Amino acid sequence: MSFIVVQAITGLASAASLFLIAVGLSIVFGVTRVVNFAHGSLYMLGAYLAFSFVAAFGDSFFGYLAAMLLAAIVVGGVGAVMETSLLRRIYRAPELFQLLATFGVVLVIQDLTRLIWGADDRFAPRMPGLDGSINILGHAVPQYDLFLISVAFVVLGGLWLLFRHTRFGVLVRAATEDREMVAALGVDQRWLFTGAFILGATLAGLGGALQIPRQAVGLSMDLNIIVDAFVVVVVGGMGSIIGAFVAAVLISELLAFGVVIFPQITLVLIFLVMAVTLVLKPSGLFGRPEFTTAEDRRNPDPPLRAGQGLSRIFWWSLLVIGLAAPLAVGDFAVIVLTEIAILALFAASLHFLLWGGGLITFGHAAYFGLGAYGSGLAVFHLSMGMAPALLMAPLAGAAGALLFGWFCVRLSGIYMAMLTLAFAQIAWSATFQWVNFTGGDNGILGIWPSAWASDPVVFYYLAFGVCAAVIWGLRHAIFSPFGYTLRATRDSSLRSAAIGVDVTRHRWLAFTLAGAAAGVAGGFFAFAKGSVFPDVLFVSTSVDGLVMVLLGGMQSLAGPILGAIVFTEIETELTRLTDLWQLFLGLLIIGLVVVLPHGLAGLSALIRRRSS
Amino acid sequence: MIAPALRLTGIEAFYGTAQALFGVDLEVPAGAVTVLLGRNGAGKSTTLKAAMGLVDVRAGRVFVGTRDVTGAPAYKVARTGLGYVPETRRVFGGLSVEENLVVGERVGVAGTVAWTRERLFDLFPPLAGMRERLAGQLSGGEQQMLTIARTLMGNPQIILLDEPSEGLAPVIVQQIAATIRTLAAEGLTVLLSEQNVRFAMHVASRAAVIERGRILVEGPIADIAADEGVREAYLTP
Amino acid sequence: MSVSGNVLAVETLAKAFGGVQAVGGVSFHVDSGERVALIGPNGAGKTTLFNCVNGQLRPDAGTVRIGGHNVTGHPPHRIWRHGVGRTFQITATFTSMTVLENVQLALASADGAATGLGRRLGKRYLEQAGELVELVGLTARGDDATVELPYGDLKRLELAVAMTNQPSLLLMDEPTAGMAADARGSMMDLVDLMVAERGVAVLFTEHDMDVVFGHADRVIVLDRGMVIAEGTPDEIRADENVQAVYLGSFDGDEAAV
Repeated sequence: MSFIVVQAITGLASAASLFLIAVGLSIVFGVTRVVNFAHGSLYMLGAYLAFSFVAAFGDSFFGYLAAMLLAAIVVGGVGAVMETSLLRRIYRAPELFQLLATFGVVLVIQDLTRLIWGADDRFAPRMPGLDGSINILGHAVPQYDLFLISVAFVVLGGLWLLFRHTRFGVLVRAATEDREMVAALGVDQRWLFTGAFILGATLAGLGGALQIPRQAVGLSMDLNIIVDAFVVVVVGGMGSIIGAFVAAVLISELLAFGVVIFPQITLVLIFLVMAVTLVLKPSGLFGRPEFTTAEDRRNPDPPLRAGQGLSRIFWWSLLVIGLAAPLAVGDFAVIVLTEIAILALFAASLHFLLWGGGLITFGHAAYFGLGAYGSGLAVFHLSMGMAPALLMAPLAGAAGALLFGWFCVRLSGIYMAMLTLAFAQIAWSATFQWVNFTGGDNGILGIWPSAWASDPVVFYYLAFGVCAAVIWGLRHAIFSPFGYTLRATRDSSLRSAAIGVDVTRHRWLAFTLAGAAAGVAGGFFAFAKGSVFPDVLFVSTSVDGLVMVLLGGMQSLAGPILGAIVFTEIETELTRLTDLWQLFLGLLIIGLVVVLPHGLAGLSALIRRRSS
Repeated sequence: MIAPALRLTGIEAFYGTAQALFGVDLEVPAGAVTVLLGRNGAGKSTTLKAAMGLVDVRAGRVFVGTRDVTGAPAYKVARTGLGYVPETRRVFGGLSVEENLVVGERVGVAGTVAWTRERLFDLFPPLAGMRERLAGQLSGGEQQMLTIARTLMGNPQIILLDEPSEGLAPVIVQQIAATIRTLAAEGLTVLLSEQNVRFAMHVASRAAVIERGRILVEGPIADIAADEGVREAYLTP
Repeated sequence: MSVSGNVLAVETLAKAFGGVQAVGGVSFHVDSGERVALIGPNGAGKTTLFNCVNGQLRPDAGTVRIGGHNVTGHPPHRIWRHGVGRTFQITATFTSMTVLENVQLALASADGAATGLGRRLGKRYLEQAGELVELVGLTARGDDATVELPYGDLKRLELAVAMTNQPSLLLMDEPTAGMAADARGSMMDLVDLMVAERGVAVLFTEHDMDVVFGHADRVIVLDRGMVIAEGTPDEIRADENVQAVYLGSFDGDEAAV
């Protein structure tokens, strides 16, 4: 019994920070309808700033407290800059672009933080006055945990007062319900948006600052917390403060007890909670259904015209160059070319969903990674040869997509993006934690091609041949009735259903097909590298894919191929020159979204328009 | 005649590619109650939304007094003294009655504060007893009073009422009619859209008939009502 | 009333939203080849009733039969399989496709081939699609992107798409909404042509009374979720109940009328 109480307290303490993050994310979304990926980065920034302030003047209880509060305020200021300089430009952009742009901020803050504070973890001293523990029912409970819990309740109370008793708070709640009506009553929304964003950022910064006596300050804090926060807001309901609170407590308690009872099952538990919630209440426990995004395509794509003129020349020359290139270049270049072929397939399979189906996925790496692990594990555990192991890749990718996709295709827009990401991160954590099976952090090594394909050039031709064939297959699928039906569900699900299309089922099939194709790419990736690490499923892999698609141009079938080539080349060159690859990539993403939303393929159209 | 308080010229408005207004010309004289009559789908609501900047206007101009507000965002239009009461009431259901009023609170164009919460509770006595109640829990009639009160909190000079009698019980409709007359007596300019001709005749002095996105006739309401041709063709099934 | 002649039979259909009875026990039928208009003032329950028939809403009580099959609560994509074509108040077309492709895809779906990964759609069902496009007078625009079409032509395209499964019933939600006055007549003439040439029955909602009285064989009037009148256009025109509902009532001062 006493054990249960103590474990519950530990869970509540973890819930405190999670609540601060999730509630800020939720408030910002409620008012601006933007899901801020960089919210976790603001949290991380809060932790680092608090660490430095504590080092400067945190040697007493009040000094420490002041350091944490100052960190939160500074982060609020960073939020103000971010809102006025970037977010204002993208409020009207499609959701995918908003998510990508804020992910660009994640990358920029990552590298800037590393520049300022270094790559090593930092450890703050304990908080003076709260560094001991209290005996509760015979167990030692850290005083700081109790402090953290009280802070969470103070913030909850403060928010309650703010939202009930200030004009700002009332306006935020009104805007969350009906923005247009608030505007019609003469309220200038710009300051309301900025205010909500500053509030959210400050809460995130505070959440990060409060963590420093409990955990090491490190560069992985941002993405770890944002995924948990996504789970919390999806379960609790977007835009709901009480939802964020209840879900944060629910998830944290599940983890606190899960870890003790059966550590491996904690991830499955979160998966189950999320799945059950979304099946029963798709808009979350306290969410409002209106938030599900309606279909709104202001700039519809032009009709597809197959194999005409330039497009035909592009595809044939690509084939010729692909076949001839290894004869003309050195060994290192052949390895890069192999990677390009593989990533082109990954990007094409992502493009199939994004463009073909209008399905915003932020977790496509899951199926790429499952393919890689499918092959790797087949070699490692079943001692399979290369050919059968490669066959396992699409099966693994498709199986994952079949399972996760069943849930994901029931949602749309932002909710779908967050759910796909959450599933991918769960898959990532599973490979990370299930050490006996996957090798955990150490990965699986020694996945080498069979003797006949061990020469890099031979392996290249194999990878190029298969990837090109699958890309051709995806391209054919786009022109087949299946692909038209998929685009139909994207253009108008109302009309699709009215001509007899089972929209959910068709999206699910497409999701699975794309998962299988990404799996093929993952399988080859494992053999190309000779190893598999959890990184292949990480969100950064998903975002790399999105950047390739965006870079090449979303509205063109050649886009993802072009994007994969350019992206891989830039990455290969830049990582040799600088450590600040992420900073560059982040700025590239933001630049793409703000300046060049139609990608390189759109650039030509832009130039044509300018010159005419 | 003095310059109209609100003037629309040649308004063409769209929802996506669907066109709702095909060149609406309308003048709303200051200090009077004007009614926009027409069946549903004729373009009444869209006309009010076009004045307010809430719909995609691709041609024509909107003047508040002499000021051209065409294409301005809704909040700026509201700040020129235009108040808007939407058709489906659109109260903030999760906010209390009092909080709904807070959202609308704004000093009028000329620095005037004609309406306070207390005055509005006098005007709508039923609301006074339920200040703390969530707006979503009010009856239809109470919600209608609340939306009108909420808009009055912004101290507008012109008030646009979109089908204020729709879906309300007869006794409530009478109260709303009395309210509109009170507002006119206070010197407010009123433009309301209505399907209910008898209600309209009771509160308005001028009328315009809209059909298929165009104004057909405009004039004193007695003349409009007397015009059997208009009634036959456009107001009866 | 013969069941076999009914294309659509609705029995005591009811639907409430949060305690508000939007449709309260409505029964009516549509015979084959008949054009029936569903009218009523705002909030009468037209849209709710319409959406219960087309599958977008699940009724609380009552049944919907199409061609004798009980389809109550079936989702829209299954309703379509019973030979029901639909058009929407605000047109819903596939904006990234050409006019012909819109029709070709619907034909593929009618043929059960919409999920096929085989031969390119662009080369299939061309002849049939061409015929339907010609029927609605869009032949010259067949290869144009749908987004380039004026609104009236989009409405025509919707009609062609709705005809692809050789329906016995067309459900048209405000077939002339959003169109200029002079284009409305020709749109409805086209609908009449479908009735005459293909024997389809039509159930439509409409605000434009010229359209209703000029193109319906029978009119059903709803008010507050109930059928208050039903009959030929002439009968409805003369019905005092209907006039009262449309003109509204105001007890405050009868003399004002």
